[in-house]
Amino acid sequence: MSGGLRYRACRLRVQTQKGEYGTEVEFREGLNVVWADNSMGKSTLMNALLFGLGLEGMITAKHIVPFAHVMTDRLDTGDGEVAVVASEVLLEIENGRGDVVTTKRTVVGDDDHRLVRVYDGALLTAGARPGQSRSLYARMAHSARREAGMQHFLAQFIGWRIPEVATFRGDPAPLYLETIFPLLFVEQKHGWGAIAGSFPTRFGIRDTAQRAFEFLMALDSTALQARRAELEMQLRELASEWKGSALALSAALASGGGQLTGVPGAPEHPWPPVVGPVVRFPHKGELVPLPLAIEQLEAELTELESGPVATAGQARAEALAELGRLQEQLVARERALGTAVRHHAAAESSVLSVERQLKEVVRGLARADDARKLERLAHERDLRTSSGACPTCGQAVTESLMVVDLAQFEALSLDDEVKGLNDRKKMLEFLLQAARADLGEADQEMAAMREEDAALRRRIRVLKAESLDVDAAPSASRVQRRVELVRQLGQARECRRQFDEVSNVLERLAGQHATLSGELKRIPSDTLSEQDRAKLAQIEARFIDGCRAFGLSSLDPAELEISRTSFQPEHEGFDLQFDLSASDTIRANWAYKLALLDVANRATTNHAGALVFDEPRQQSASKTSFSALIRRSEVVCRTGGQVIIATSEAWDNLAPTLEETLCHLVKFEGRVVTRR
Amino acid sequence: MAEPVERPSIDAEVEFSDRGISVPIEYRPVWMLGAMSVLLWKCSHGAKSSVERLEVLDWAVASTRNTDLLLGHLRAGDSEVAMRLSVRGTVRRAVAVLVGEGLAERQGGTRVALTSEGKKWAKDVWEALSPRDLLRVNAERIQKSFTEGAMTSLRRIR
Repeated sequence: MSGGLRYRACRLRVQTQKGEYGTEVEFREGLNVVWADNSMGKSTLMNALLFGLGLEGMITAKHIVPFAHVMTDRLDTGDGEVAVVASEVLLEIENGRGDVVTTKRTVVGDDDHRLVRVYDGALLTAGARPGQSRSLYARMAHSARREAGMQHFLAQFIGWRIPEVATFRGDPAPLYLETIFPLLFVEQKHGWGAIAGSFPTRFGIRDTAQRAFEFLMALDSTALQARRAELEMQLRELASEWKGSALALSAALASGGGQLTGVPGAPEHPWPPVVGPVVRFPHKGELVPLPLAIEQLEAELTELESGPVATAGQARAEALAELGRLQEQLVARERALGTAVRHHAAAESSVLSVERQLKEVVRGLARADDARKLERLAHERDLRTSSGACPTCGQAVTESLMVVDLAQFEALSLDDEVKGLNDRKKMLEFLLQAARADLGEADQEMAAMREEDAALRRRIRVLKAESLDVDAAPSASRVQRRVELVRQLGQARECRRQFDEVSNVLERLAGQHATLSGELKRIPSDTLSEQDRAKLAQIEARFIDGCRAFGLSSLDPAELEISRTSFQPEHEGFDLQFDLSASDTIRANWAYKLALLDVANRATTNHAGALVFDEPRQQSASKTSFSALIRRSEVVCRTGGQVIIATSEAWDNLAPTLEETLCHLVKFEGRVVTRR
Repeated sequence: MAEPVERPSIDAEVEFSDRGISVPIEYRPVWMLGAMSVLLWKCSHGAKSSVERLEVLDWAVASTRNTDLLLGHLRAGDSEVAMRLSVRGTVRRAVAVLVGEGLAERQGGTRVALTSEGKKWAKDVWEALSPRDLLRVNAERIQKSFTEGAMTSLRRIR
């Protein structure tokens, strides 16, 4: 085990109008049994362990304290009820390095319940005086990533390096502690429903149970998954840099009159491709490849510079012919510019329209997301509407309250509605990309045309002036042509310089992209290392042993397996849950969790070494099985670890087993929370 | 003509399937249950209201413009702000469902009030709504400023 967590003590303090109530419990290494009769506050104590760790989000998505009224509202003293004025939980924990801290968290009182004060030292068992404390926050955004977050602190305290894992949203997220603890803490209400545990899904982590198992048992696939998430992130960053560079180049070229084509939206390898990107440059009224434009401009300039400058008289006839030609050209170009302006306006309006629609769909999706939350709330509250029934007459109701009669049509379910909205969003994003490309082209086209028009007008002005010049004067049109050539050549060379510069960047990005993509492809998606297989074989053997010891009878335990892909128990390739009776599901849950702890004692894992079972005798698992659980837990703890079992099993049944077992017993004769 | 700098291409598989009618979220029973309870809890004195007033509130929270109009009307008095209300028939149905679920009860005539269970539900709904949701943002702007008295003056204008 590389990580470590031990519960050392827990104190509940409840201040009422009639004085202080509470309880304090110490836990030891090995097996701990907490006994109290039903409804005496045992689960309050167990939930306090989670609350003290700031992990109650494992059992509830709501931002409320997970306690019964005894800690929050009123307390039954036996003589009547008294109002709770203030209450808090103190939890003393130790890690694998022997560091001890005590956490203190308010349930009711002046402090916000999301605030956790963490004191160094054993405030409960050694009576250390509270010294310097850290104030951390729990159940708030970023609690897992930031130093001031309780999750961040707890992970460091236990010695866990929390991996980043893939989410349904596409971006990686930390493997939140609430998704790991279901394998370490079986809570009474939610923990017994599934063999591996009930894993919160609200974090959007893909295959949550699988990721939690891989991490806890330190399977090599965890590191691979982490590397995969890291690579995917780096690839996204590279793609974004690529796109940024291409756009910047395109804009820079456009300002100089050039036009870029052939740069894809995402990195491609090999780069440059056989048919690489091309820059076109306006020359003599048309767009020609940049190297050709430079070559022709240079040749023309050389020719002009090679001889003496002609006089206006020598150049007049040629100038007048050119003037006529250019004036005709200008009229045609003005018409073309009008068309280009209209095209640009249409492209702009198209982008705006798609952006508006996309905004609506995104808003619709957010609302649908809220609606789904309301649907879940309605399910939790058992509202009949949530199951499609009329709350008054019980008849089926449609998915709509619209006045129009939908009875003859089938309305889309909320999930399908969301799917439809997502499809629409994708389509609009696609259209937006196309519309923006159109607009980009229109921009470039207009910029190029304006640039050429300006040059044309300059030339016409000069030619007109020259027609009125005296014959002996130097030809202004030839001089202007030379100046114009120098300017165009300067622009063309600048375009070439920028293109070469960005080409190098693109080449580097394409190379990096190819390397990272290659590595990503080589990461096996489901392959386990030899050590992983050995670990899983050990877990499987101990799981089968445990099931046998606990009297699992729905199936022959020897036929059970631990899946090499989902890491959950299965039978003949099917999820075990469907083949077991309710009480056997409980037995399998005991066996699974104990098997993990047992293997963690012998192999390198991230298991915290502590396991909590709150009321494990669910679904009337037999007396014999329960005794076997106590005995087996004790045996597992002999090699290390801590198991806490909270139970209200009939004392007469429990006592004989406890007599034969080495365990630390915490027995409450009456209520757990009593007068102090 | 310039060539495109970057043009997306479709590589998705085309899939044909029967689909039902798309129903806007605002017409779905669960949403309306939530919306009505929020309007009663957040925008109504004593968590009670006439159904007519709920109709107006439902219209008002549907868009920022509608909220502006209602608040403008409340500030300016009777008829200085032109308002055209479109009333959806869904509110009455939603109120009936709310009563059927035991989250609200009728109080004679057309008045309706949240039960204690309804108030808890409204609080849960409020917390579940994203902070930028229009219902939440606009209900927060209106608060309890639109009273039954103001509703009566609206009725007079009509």
